[in-house]
Amino acid sequence: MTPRLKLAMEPDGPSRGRHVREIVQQLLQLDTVRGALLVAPDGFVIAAELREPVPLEPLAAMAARLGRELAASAARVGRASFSTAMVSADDGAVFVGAAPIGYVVVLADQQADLEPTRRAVEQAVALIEAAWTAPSAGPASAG
Amino acid sequence: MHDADVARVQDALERFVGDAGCAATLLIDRRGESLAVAGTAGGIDLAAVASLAAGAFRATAPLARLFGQTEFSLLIHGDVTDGVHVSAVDEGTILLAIFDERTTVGMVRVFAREATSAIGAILAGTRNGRGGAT
Repeated sequence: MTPRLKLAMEPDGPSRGRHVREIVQQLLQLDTVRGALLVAPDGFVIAAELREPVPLEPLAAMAARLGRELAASAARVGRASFSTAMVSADDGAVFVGAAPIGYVVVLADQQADLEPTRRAVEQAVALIEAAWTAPSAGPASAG
Repeated sequence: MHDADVARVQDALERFVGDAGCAATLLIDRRGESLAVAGTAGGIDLAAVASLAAGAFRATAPLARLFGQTEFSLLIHGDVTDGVHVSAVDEGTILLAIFDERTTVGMVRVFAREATSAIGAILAGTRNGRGGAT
C-alpha cells in the first residue's frame, strides 16, 4: 500500500479541532470503553478513537440516526433535547450524548459500570459545549 | 477591499486551518483565481487545485438544478481521510480546504461552516460599504 503523503507540518497553537480530539481520546481512560466517536448529525465522523477495529461508518450512521430520532422525539414531547441515551446488547452498550456539533458516541464493554460511563459522556459533552461557547477564548481546559 | 478586511479574511482562514487541522485553505473566485491562502500543501500546485475545483463546482450546477437547487453548496473530492473540501461562501467566492489523514472530512466540515459564514459576512460588509469595521 502506498503511504499517504503528509501535506504540511503539524500546526502549533490552540486548535478547537485538536481539543475535540483530546476530549474523545480522554473517554478511553475508562478501561471498559472500547471506543469513542464524535459524529456529525448527518453521520460524518468528526473524531474517532478505537481500541480495536470497528466498522466505523455504519456505527456513525447508526448513532447519528439514533441521535436525530431522539432529538425529534424529545421535541415532539415538548423537551428541548435529550442529553444522554444508552442502548445495551449482550456484548456491551452504546452511549450517545448530544453535543453542539454532533453526537458523542461511546462503545462500552459488557462489564462497564454504566453510571461512570454516562458521567464521562456528559463531561465530554460539557467540554465540547465550553469550547463552542467561547471560540475566541481558545480551547477550555480538558483536565 | 480595505486592508482591515483583507486581514480579517486572512485571520478567518488561519483560524480555519488551525481548528480543522487541514493542510491548506484557499479562498477563490468562481473562475478559480486565488484570493487568499493559508497553510501549505507540500508539493501540490495550489493554483491548479483552485482552477480545477472551481471548474468542478461549476460542472455540478446542472446536476444541482435537477434537484431544484441553483448549485450544490458543498462538494467533497477524495475520501474520508484525504481530499479537497469545496464550499460556497457567496455568489462570487468559494472556500477550498485541502486535508489529509491528520483530520477527518467531518472535522473539516464543522469548521468550514464557521469559516464560510465569517468570510461571507466580511465580504458582504465590504460590498455594502461597511468594510474595515472591526
